[in-house]
Amino acid sequence: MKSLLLAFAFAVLLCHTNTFAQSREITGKVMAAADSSWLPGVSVRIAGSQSGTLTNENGEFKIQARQGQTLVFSFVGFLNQSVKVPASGDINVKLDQDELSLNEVVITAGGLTAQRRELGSQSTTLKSQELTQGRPTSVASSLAGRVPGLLVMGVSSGVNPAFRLVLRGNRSLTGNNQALVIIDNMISTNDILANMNPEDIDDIQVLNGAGAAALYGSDASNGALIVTTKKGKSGKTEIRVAHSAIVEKVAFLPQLQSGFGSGTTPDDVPTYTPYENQQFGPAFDGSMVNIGKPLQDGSIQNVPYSARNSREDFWETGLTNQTDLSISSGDEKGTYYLSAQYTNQHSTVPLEVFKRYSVRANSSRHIYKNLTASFNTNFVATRSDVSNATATAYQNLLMSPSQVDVTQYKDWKNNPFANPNGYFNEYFTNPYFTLANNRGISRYDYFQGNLELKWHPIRPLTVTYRTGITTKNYSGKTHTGKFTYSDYTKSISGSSKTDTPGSVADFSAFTNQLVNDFIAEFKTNFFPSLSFSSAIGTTFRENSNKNIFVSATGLVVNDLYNIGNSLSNPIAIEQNFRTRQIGVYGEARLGFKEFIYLHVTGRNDWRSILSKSNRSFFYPSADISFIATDAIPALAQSDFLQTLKLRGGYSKVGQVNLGNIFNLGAYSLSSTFSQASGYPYSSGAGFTLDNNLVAADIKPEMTIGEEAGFDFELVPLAISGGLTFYKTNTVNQTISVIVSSATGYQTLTTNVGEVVNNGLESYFNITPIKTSNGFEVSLAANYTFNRNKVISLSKQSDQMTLSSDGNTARIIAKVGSPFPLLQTTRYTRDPENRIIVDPITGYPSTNGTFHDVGITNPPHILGLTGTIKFRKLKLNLLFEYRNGHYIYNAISTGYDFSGAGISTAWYNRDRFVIPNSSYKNADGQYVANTNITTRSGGADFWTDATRNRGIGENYANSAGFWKLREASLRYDLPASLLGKTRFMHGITLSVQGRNLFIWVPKSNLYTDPEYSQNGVESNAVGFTNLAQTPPARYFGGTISFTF
Amino acid sequence: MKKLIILFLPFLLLTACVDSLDDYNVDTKRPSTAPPVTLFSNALKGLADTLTSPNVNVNNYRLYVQQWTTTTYLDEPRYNVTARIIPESFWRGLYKGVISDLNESRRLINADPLLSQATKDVQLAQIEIVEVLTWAALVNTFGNLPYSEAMNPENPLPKYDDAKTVYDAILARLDAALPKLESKGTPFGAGDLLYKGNIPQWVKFGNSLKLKLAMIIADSDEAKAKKMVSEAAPKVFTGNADKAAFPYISTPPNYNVVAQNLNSLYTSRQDFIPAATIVTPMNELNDPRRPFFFTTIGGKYVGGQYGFLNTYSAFSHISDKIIDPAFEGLLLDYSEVEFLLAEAVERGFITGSAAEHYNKAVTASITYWGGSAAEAAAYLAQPKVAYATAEGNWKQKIGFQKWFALYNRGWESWVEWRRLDFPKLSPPSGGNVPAGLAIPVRMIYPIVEQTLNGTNRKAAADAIGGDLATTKLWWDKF
Repeated sequence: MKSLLLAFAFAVLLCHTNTFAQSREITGKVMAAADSSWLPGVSVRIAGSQSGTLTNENGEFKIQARQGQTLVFSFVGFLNQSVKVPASGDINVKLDQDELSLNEVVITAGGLTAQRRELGSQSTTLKSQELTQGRPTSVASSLAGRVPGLLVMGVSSGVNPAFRLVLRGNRSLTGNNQALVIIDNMISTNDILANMNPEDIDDIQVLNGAGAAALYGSDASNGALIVTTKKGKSGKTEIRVAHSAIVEKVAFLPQLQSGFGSGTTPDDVPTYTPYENQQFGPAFDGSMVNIGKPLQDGSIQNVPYSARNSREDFWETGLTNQTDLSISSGDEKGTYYLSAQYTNQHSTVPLEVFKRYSVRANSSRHIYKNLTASFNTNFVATRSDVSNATATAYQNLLMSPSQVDVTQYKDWKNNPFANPNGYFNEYFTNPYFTLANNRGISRYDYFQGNLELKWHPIRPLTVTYRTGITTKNYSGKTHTGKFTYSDYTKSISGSSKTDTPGSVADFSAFTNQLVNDFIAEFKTNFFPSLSFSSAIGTTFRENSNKNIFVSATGLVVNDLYNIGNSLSNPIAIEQNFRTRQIGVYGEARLGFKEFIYLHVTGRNDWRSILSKSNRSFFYPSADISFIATDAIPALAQSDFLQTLKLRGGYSKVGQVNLGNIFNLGAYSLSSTFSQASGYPYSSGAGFTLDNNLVAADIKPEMTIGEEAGFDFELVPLAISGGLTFYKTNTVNQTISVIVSSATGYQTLTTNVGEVVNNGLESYFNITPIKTSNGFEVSLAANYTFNRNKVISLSKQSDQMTLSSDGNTARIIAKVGSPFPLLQTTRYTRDPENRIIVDPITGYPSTNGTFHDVGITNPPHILGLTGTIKFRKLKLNLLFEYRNGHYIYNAISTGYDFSGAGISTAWYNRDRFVIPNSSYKNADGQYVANTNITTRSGGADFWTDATRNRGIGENYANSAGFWKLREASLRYDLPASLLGKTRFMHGITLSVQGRNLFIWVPKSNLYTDPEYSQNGVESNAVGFTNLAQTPPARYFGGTISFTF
Repeated sequence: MKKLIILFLPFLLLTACVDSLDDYNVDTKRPSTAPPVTLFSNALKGLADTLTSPNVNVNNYRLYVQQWTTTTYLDEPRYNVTARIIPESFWRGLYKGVISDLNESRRLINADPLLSQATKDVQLAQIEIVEVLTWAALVNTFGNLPYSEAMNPENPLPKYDDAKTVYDAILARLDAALPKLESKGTPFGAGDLLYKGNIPQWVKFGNSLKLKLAMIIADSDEAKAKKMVSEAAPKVFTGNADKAAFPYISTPPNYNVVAQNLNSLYTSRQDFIPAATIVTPMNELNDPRRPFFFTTIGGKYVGGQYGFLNTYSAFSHISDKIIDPAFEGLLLDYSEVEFLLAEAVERGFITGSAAEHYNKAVTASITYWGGSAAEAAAYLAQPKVAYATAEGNWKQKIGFQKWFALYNRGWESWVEWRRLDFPKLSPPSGGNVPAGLAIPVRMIYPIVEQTLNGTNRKAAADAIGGDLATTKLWWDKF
């Protein structure tokens, strides 16, 4: 058959040679105009004929053509180019990128690719430059405010802060809601994303909904961030060296009172106590006072009785140095990209140091006809030395009255007044000592590597095999130094100064993930107007985690932190987990005339952590995309509307919510035993059945998602935008239901409950000014609205607590309410909502019941980006706004028990009438209180739990904010300035800042409402405490050389 | 075609892998089966902790029988059982903390193909005796409760069974277990924290328990009580050394729960002092046990006023002996058994001399606590103590002295007080005490049961005449 065809073609050619000019073999090369890299697979066609060819892996082609004929070069993602065949010589072509975003090729789930026009769901592409212009240490921080639908929460402070990344709200009540992270087609983790070198990232494709990510099956319900790292370009070598220095300063301090020094009671005639931590003493008057108790040698400190600024000065100026090196190169056969980065950060917390080393090697090579081999490897090592008692140190700082200059006490070893023995504060230790004496050092080594073989046996078919490993090895040590107080100190102080016996803990752990993927892709056009692409694949994944933890208390030799250096029996814990997952998936995309596309996917997963009968699950999705501007001629001809795409999708995906990120849910089904507390008893062992039983038939939580939306581009002012509505219903929530202990267990983990989320995502871009002399102003905005609601919980209870702060505040899921819901205790109020006070004491009270405050996840998120370009100069600003949610600050001890908080001085420590209060008169009526003052305006009121500190509403406030997330100014030195240094291609200077300003409502006295004391993994956002130090702003400069 | 096969090979391999996933969900580093004896040990500790605890959240029976009172918080001595989760703690402590582990221990023994039947029999009998004791504690506290459908996590809504039916069932189980103790198998050894595998002791313990449980229904089912009492009586404890006592040790956190709540080594709380209700009559009788029960204040034993605020420093405290971290927790002792025998004679269940048993009981108690036999004799010689001349009928004589003997065993004392109706105790009154307080004669069901198992709880509450602390149990006829 083949030979027949050939013969026929030959015959055709032969007969043509007689009538037309002599055809000749034309050779040439095709490269991308943007970066001069060779383009393989470009279609080269003779206009008006059927003959054509493709460029090979080196961008080369050969074709028979005659002078005067036109060769049409076309390639997905690039504009077509036509070239007339010259009389002689080769044809070398540079193709320009197709700027029409609909034709942009993007990576979709499973490492497959598609043109944007084919996608039926909301996705956003973030390019390397956007991600790195603010020079973030962690790329996660630069995602905030840029992506519709994505909530980025910086939950912790200090070095290497952690970020919680949630797309389209919280679906799971107790399970993971964070977006799936894919790096170079490998399932990865949030912490690897946060710790990878941001400069290595080529782009991040954000798939907002489960539908787009459905090919990931039981990992897909939270949407996905698909990260692609940089590759070398054939025919182009570039070496880049850059250095940044970034300063970090505290940006938002809690509001503290500065009018009163140390003292406690009596309230109305406050007396000064030189060694007191509470700040309910007399008003500052500038006179000289002693602080602390005399040292053994009789010396005592004498300071002016006036406010100092030391509680602000305690926070240091941090500095981050970051150095980058990257080399990228390639030739016809292969490409490579090598990079290295070193980061060294000192944060605002004294003594905190963080270092990160990252090395990457990505390479790709054609090793055989039709066969390409490539690999990506990345090693990241982080080293940190931080205090594990930062919260205590912060509290100790707040327990330092304002007349004391705490910054004097850095040198606790040599300064007798800084040493715990001589420290002025009778009840709380020197914060510098707390930081220095309680340390945690840790080392994390991440390795992620994969190799990929891609084979094109026949033209429409591509077969890919990929295998990879993602591993994290980490170890660390925490210690508390031993400290023995002097006999003198003990003799003059009560039980408040007790010896610290010292302790040490050591741990090491690894997590390991192996993945094998096999994918066969088939792409063809059945007819010119009907395109078809499909893929089937299998994936196999094994995860194994292990940790060992040992600790001992009571050190024998001081300053020697070794488990053996202890008289007590060490505590030792070992944990091991292993799981497997197998998936088979397929997708098919049918396109008609390039204006309507139907896309369906299906995946079946088998998970080892589920019971045999429930192990296998099928996850389908379907979406449709319609390009109105291509389908409807009237629209196509509009010179106002450039493109309009309508889209919609449906998906059903699941998430197995068992265990946590470390134990992976392994073995949850078998009720295991634990060594009961206190055993071995004498010498015998004692075991007890676990309190929780996991129902044997536990199933994944199922999220059924629907979305619909449109994207448009207008001709004028380069306006573009889009809007997406979505709705997800997550059923079979996996929660632990309390059961009667008559069953032998206390809780039963089972599938009950439903959560619904709906919302919208929108974006809008405009370039109002673009002049011919290179001046350009562009604005981008995105707005996200999310509303969620708990539809049902268990039969037994219509609410469930996720986190609580004593009996004062809690974060719960409650049927009929948004989730997570903040509830606090509040003052007992009359029917007119006035605070009821006691008619004699004037004190308010609480009955201790909880009241709804509101959701703790922001319903409204707005991101605004402004870019101003003038030739080589570029200014970029990014603002973010969030509102509609609430936060509770679990800090009443630090602020109000201490008397440091500004609210304690609102009434100048005088007796006062509680605003908007009432009292019950003799007739039992509530009448407005205008004259009954509180019996105390000092310690007796502010430190008391029933009057102030135990009333949760006093510490709950709106979590809304505006932030200037990022500002950067960049200048590319013009080539003329580089002069004759031929080896140097460019120098870029930039200054940049991150989190420069925050604006919060007046009610927020305390801290950045983005914080969450429960960490990245917990859905119970909405609590902060003193473990989150005051938020910092970062600003610095970068110089970058390209060779 | 070949290429096609290669293409599909991965899919074929996968199918094979899917079947092997079971192997991956077996935790090889953590026990999914534990040695049964370890569960038995832990159940014993759970039982001793719950019955011995003086924690206000769990066990307030020392207060209800007015052996102790509180200094600061008056909710519990004034019989508030809802301010804290008292019923739930006791319920959970026994269901989850004891019966669940015993149940699992039994399941593991039955499932072990390597154990001989004789060994299974004797170990199961040990488990059974402890379980019967635990069920009796539950049923004598709450009345109707989940029994036949309990311990089945597949059924989160177990029905409540009639208390008498449950009680008859556990008595039958005890009867069935006792002969199996003597099956010559290998009993639980070192993990048997009561008797270290000494089977003759277990036989005595089992029969003493039978005597005790049978006597509880003497007023409601006399025939059955008589039969069981007369069967058990010859095989019961014969001396203080026979006692069933849980050996607390001084290593943290295994010290006695009383020490945990009272000893200044472990707590700064100063909540409990002896109540004048018990100190005063002991003073009147010059009771030789006082130095072992109380500390002195100004050389005297002074109890606080029951149910009112008391200044800790102004009154005697609980003795150092009782708050010692290694002080044992009694489950059943010889003195108790002799009192029961005295009662059995009085009721005509057995023959013998009630006075003799009474004297032995009082003597055993005094010598157990540290007094001498001579002191006991002198004590018994007092007309107000001597069985012949002590005040009241046999119920009063026995009830009164048993109240002393069961000092520090509040829950047991509460059962005996309800059963014998002596000593006469009055709820606090006057002052700021709310009117109409009544000493609980039953513990209400855990509040959480209203939501967790509401329908069944409601049915049970209706069946017993209301889920109240004043609803008498079926055996509490007087």
